[in-house]
Amino acid sequence: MRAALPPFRLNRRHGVLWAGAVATTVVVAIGLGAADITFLDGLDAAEWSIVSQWRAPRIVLGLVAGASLAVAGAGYQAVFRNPLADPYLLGAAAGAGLGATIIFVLAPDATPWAVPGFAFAGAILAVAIAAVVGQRRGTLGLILAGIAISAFISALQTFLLVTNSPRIAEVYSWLIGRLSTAGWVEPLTVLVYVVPAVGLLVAMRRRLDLFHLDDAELHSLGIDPDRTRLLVLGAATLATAAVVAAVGLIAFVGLIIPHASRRLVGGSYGRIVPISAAMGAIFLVAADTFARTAFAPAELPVGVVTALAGAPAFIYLLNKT
Amino acid sequence: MNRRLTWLVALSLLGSACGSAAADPTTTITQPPQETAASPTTTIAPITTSSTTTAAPEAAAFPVSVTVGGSEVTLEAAPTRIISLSPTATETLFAIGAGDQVVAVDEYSNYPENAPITNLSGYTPNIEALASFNPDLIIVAFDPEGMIGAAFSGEVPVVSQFPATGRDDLLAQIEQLGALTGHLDEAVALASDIAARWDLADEADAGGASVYIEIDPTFYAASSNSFVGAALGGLGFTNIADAADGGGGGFPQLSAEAIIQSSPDVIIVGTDTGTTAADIAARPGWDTISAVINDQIIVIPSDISSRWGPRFVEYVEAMAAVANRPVTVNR
Repeated sequence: MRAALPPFRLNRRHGVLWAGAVATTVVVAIGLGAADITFLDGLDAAEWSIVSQWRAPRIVLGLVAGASLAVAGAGYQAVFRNPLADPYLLGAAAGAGLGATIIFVLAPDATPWAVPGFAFAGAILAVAIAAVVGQRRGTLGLILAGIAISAFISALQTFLLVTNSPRIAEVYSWLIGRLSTAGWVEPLTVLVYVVPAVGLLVAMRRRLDLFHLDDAELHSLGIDPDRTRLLVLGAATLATAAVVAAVGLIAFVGLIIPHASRRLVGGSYGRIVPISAAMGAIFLVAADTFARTAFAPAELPVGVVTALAGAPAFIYLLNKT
Repeated sequence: MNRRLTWLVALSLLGSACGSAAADPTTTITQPPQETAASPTTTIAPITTSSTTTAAPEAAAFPVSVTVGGSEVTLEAAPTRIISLSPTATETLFAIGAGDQVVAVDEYSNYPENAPITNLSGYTPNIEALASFNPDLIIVAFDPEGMIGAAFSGEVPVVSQFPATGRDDLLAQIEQLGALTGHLDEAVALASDIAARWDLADEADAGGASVYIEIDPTFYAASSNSFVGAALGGLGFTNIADAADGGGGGFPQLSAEAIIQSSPDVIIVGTDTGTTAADIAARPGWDTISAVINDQIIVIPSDISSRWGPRFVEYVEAMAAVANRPVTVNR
């Protein structure tokens, strides 16, 4: 038997605090970059296009990708009741990787649109196959099916790469994950998918807490755990696929940010989900700001920074709280 | 013969796998695997002829001994069954008149057209497939962990001609292939012809015009530390990627912001990227870049600029023409 669940509502003061933190991150990120721009004395044409067409859309993409991956990760962890679950668990990463590789290798002259399109389709398809194959065996079956399909798809991808070696560098750069985007088309396209998907997860966040109970107990409460699980996984996968298609495979955010926010604000998904969104957005934008300024005018792939900075930060958090 | 060779391959693979680097005493040509060269156990056949002096095409010049990349290769007779796993070497072999001696080239050796192209891979070489051609000389540009050299050690000489580090290396590699194939005269002539054309091109002066050499659409660029970038040094270009290449790797990834702000006067892009001048001009904010305004986006055939062979000088000449072009810098 459980006592009353902790209060779901976020303290308003906390909300203001986190919104302020996100806003501060954005302002700092806009101010920093490889191009040396002094905002106080006005912007010339080149500087204006740098800020409006490169820096700003990239920051928006970072906010969206970070928040989406973190919320999707929280959703995956909740419905699988597994702290090691992340949004790539059911094959979204492998599927997206294969989709992108197919374009890089087989149709290198295709429009720039083809890579995110195929990556998106690959991610959705891989998770759908895992869901169909593994569903009848319950949660464990789903995870195992996801792992098997990921392995199979990764092998296909490696095969394509090995037989078409000259494209390796490009594919590899995509696999590490990067936020480079030109103009607003990419971030806005991602938003089209992410807003409803993440919106649904945020709306359902209180129901995620119920997965503390086992499936039989959920049934007795009048909740269909399989349907809820599918809904959550569907929304999380849609968001993940849209993000992965735009930025490649950014490791770590979807796995660690939900844990970090759980450490900070406790066990209720009512709080974990929104705080994860804020932390994910801040973390990815901060990591990318470092990636594009630390060795300017050279860039680092942001995926390297998220892993290098995120792991120690998380360990610190783990010990501190 | 074929079967025997295959056995030898299998045995030497086994030998190298076991880590016993015992050199076969009957070996005439020894290719110590890179770095792990065990000098006390290697036996090098007595060098009878110096290759640097005269050499009639074919026969008379042999046996010949050539030092390639620090290791000595000795051929008793002119090779007649050459495999080239290097598109660069393939071009050179045909350019110096050794094309008739080539039996197979790798999948990317698409020039010249009459090269015996196969599906052999220079990246993931298949030892058995190589052996099946019964080669008497193998030329590679890439030898992961010295695998090919180890596999054929003692049976077939394997020559590694890695990407040239500069103009001297490019010319030296041509002469090495000339000596190894019995076409030293042609090779020397080709090398001096290239050197002369290069010298002529170097008279151009871009007057410090800035250049951005795009390697892929995510803004990986070639700095002056790369071969393709260094070749522009004599033409008076300054490379905007140099500031980003503190590590000296030659190919840093640039920030688009930095590219726009440094406003390069010339942009070079290879055909293998699939990027066109129109693609570049259409990038947001790039319409403020000098090269875009003045129509100085140069699309170079990648097969010419990415191979360090006899045609590379065409790239230098093309860029010399750009350097000489009167450019009104209009920012």
